[in-house]
Amino acid sequence: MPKKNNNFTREHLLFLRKQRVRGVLIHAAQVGILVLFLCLWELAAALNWIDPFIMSSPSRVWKTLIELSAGGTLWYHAWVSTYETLAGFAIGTAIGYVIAVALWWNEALQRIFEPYLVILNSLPKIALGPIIIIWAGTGKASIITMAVLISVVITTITILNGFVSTDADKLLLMRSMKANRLQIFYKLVAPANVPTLMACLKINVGMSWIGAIMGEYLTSKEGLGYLLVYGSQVFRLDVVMTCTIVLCALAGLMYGAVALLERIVNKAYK
Amino acid sequence: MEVLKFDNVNKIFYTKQHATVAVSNLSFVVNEGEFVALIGPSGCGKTTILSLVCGLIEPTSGSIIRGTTQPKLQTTQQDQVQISDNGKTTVSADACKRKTPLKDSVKRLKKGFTQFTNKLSKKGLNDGENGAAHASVGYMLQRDQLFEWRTIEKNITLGLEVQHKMTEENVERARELLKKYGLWEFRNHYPQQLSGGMRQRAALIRTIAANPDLLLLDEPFSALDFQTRLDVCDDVYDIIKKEHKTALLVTHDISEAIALADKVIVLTARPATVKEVHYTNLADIETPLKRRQSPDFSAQFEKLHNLLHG
Repeated sequence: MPKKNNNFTREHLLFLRKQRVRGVLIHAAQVGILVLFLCLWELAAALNWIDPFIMSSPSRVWKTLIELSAGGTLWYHAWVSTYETLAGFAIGTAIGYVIAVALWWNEALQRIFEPYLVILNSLPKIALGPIIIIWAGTGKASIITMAVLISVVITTITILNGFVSTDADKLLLMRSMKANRLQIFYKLVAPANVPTLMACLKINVGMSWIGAIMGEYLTSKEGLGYLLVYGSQVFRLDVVMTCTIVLCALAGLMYGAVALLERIVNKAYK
Repeated sequence: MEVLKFDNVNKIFYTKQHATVAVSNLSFVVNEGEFVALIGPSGCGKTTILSLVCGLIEPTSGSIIRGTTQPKLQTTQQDQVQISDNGKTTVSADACKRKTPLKDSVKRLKKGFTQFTNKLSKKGLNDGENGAAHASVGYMLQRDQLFEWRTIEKNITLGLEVQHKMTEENVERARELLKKYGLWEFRNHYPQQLSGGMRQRAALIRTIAANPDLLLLDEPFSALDFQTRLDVCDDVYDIIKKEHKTALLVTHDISEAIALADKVIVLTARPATVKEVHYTNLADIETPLKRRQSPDFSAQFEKLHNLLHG
């Protein structure tokens, strides 16, 4: 509980001031690096240290951003990618969680599928691209499939690891109360692993973006991945840079949302 | 009346390499209202005995009899969910009248879920009603094992929930226990906001709330520092006596066994079997702490120590 400031001693206030100053300095440094980078980039392009045609520059990116968003093109493509990512994220996490529950439920099943999980986890999913295109077509379905494939295996492995490492003594307590497997799951294992799930969601933000953009590289007529490939093919590096920056912003936003959710949910798990 | 009776119990574990006899011809009795301590050298098969008492494992040979002494707790409506042949759940008409539609559908969902639970577990609580003679054991572990995502009150009623005994009456009893033992103000706190001693008290109340015939205590103080340990020991003893519980304490700590128990059963090294039954005769001294100060205490300690290590 934060107390009123007037209860604090002078030393305590000084300490708090120091903490605050430190916090501000760190934020300032974070922003400063970005600003410095942008300035250097702009300067280098303006003074022709680098070729702005190949390397672009912040002002050119800004111009492109205005230009592309004027017709709504950019936002349309950004929306398509976000939609595919969110779908892949949700489906991948859900399926992965369900598989983890099934494998936790039955130990024999877990042992049977262990080598398959290991192999699927180390398989570069992009290798399945051609097969996915043939099976799921060239539309959004195959891109979402790619995003799902990339996030589903890691979800299963992470969540299952969490389930299996549930405190043995708590399990013993539940068993001594004659709890059945379902009760053990929804009263102990599932709530105990909410932090695991949250950590997994954070991983999956990155995974599903990788999946969606890779899917768009392989086959698409829309989305940021498409725009990136298109930009590089017609040698408009301004477009490529702009897309990359928008992608950064979107991924950051989504990660931020998940991190916020994690902070709210994990309050009870200190 | 016997609450627990081990009669020539043997337990053998098999591994790839060899068979280990963990418990051999173990016989002892815990009578109603008694506080019994089991002590033995480390590795004497303590965990095996705990699991046997709880019914988590079955003996290889011999018998374990658990007698019921407590009146059975009323089970909830949910437990008596009528599973008719067509598998539909019936909700009584007056329940529909009283509740708002939303509450009612939530209730119906809950009932369906419970029914699903019961179906999934073949040996679940359905046989609780048939096998009424089977006494229940409340297991208190070394660490409090409170669930950190549940409030203290929700932790206390965990056993009732699991056993489908969440009737108003039983919940009220659990709440009374909270009030009686100074945890009422903390009922909406989370475990991490409580001190070690309070957490252990909460764990004991959780065990008692399900009204077991026998309390099984597995070194319940070992995770606490020495000073807290003495206080909590008095605390736990006081609650167990006030609630008229029968208790079986399994420990390595000789002094704890003497301070708490009426009867100390000394076990041999593995395979565990009874070496001696020692009566402490300290019942007229009120608290474990005062018993530790009694002149008789050190003599008893020496005797048990020699038995264990001699």
